[in-house]
Amino acid sequence: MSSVDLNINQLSYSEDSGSQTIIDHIDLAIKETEFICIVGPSGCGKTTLLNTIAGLLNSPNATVKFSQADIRLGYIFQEPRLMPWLTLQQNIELVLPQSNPQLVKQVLKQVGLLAYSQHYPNALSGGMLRRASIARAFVIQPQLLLLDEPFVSLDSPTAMKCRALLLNMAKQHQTTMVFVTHDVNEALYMADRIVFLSNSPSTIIHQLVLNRSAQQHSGDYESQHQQALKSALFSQHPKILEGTLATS
Amino acid sequence: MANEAVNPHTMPIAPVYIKLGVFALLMAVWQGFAMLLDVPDLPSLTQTLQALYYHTHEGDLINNVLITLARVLISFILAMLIGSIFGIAMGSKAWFNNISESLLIILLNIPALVVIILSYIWIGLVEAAAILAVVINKVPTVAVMLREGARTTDTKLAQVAKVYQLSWYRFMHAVYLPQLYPFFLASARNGLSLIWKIVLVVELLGRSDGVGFALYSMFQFFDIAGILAYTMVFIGVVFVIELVCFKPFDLRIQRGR
Repeated sequence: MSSVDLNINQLSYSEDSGSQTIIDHIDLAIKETEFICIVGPSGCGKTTLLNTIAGLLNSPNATVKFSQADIRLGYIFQEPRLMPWLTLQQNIELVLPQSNPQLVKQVLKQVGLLAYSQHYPNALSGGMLRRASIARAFVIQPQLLLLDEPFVSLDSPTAMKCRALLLNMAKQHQTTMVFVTHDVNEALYMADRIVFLSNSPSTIIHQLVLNRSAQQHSGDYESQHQQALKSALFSQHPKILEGTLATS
Repeated sequence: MANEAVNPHTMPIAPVYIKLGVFALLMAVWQGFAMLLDVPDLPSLTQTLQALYYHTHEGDLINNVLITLARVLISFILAMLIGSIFGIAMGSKAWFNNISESLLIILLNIPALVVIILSYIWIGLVEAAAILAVVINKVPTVAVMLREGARTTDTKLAQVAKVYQLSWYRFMHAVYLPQLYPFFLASARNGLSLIWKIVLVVELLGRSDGVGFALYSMFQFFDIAGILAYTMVFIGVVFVIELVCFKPFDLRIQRGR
């Protein structure tokens, strides 16, 4: 399965009235299979950026180009956004163009929810719902996956499990990932590259390329390696993380 | 007390037995009260059942009920269809709501009797006029309910449908309409009870058959047992519709909510 490149040029976004600019001229190129984390303080326009990439918002003068014309796009939102009236299996099947029960079962098994396939979302825990939304995103075998702080309201051990699951599936499916978070630790743990946004109107103020091979995703959330990176980042750009850490 | 010990030998009474018990109690109260008063204006349960037997075997009860039921069904389907389309359009498109809101308020407040009389005068004493009068009376209430439903639909779920490129049919079937089902059900239940009543008035004023016409004829002869017999059948039919149509739909839409 092929992944996609993503090129964003001069992306700006203002509210309908035009009174407030939320995103101000962002240029960003994302390579195939790259795992990008976008970090910034709350309210800086991270979700707006993802929604614009997904085509949920229109930015008249911007260009958002993919390396292929018709791509399979997945999106894991802040809330799981499952249909309450559909079972877990039906929720996953919903996004497939044609019914494929075997594929659905396979993905549910991967996320450890096969036993719950006939349950309705209101019978599942928060962590299970997140895993279900991961399953829904991966069942279409996405070339590009957008994630908007998907683990923000989970307790720490559950969030850690979900992160590990996500990394595993991203690696397995060779998907280009754009992950939004305000948690620097989370970004350091997961990303190939971290893009830091300023407060609104947001622009890119710094990019940090991480050596993926040095990161072992050992399950140690804040390893010495990450702490060293964070310290280095602080010493170089003390103002970058000011707002970010204040909210995380 | 919340943590009061529950006797494991005490089995809860099934709701169906409670309902049957209440029904039997009502019938007993009616019978006792009628026997106590012993006046021709309040026939007893047994007299009413005798009248029911008579009108079923000797009279036109079944025919009249079927005719009225057909009118109710046609009016109900038309009113739900038109009202739902208008309501959803008004709830989802602000410009359409602005255009139609005044008309909706007017239709909601015109007395049913005025609509019925005008329909008969303008169209004539024909079936179409009767149906039209009922539909015009019911459409605004359906539209109001569905408008509120369409206003409360979750745009976040619509975003999921857009991102995952669901077809229009799949979006309507699995994402949009399920959010409106509780409003459809409330509107249908409310609509059926209202339509029954309006159809009887329509029949009383301008038709020569149906339950409304039969009730008017019995009123002329002070056949109160006959009127109560028709009412019993009426209530029975509504219960059957509730059990066969509405209850299963209700159970279905409650799943997962």
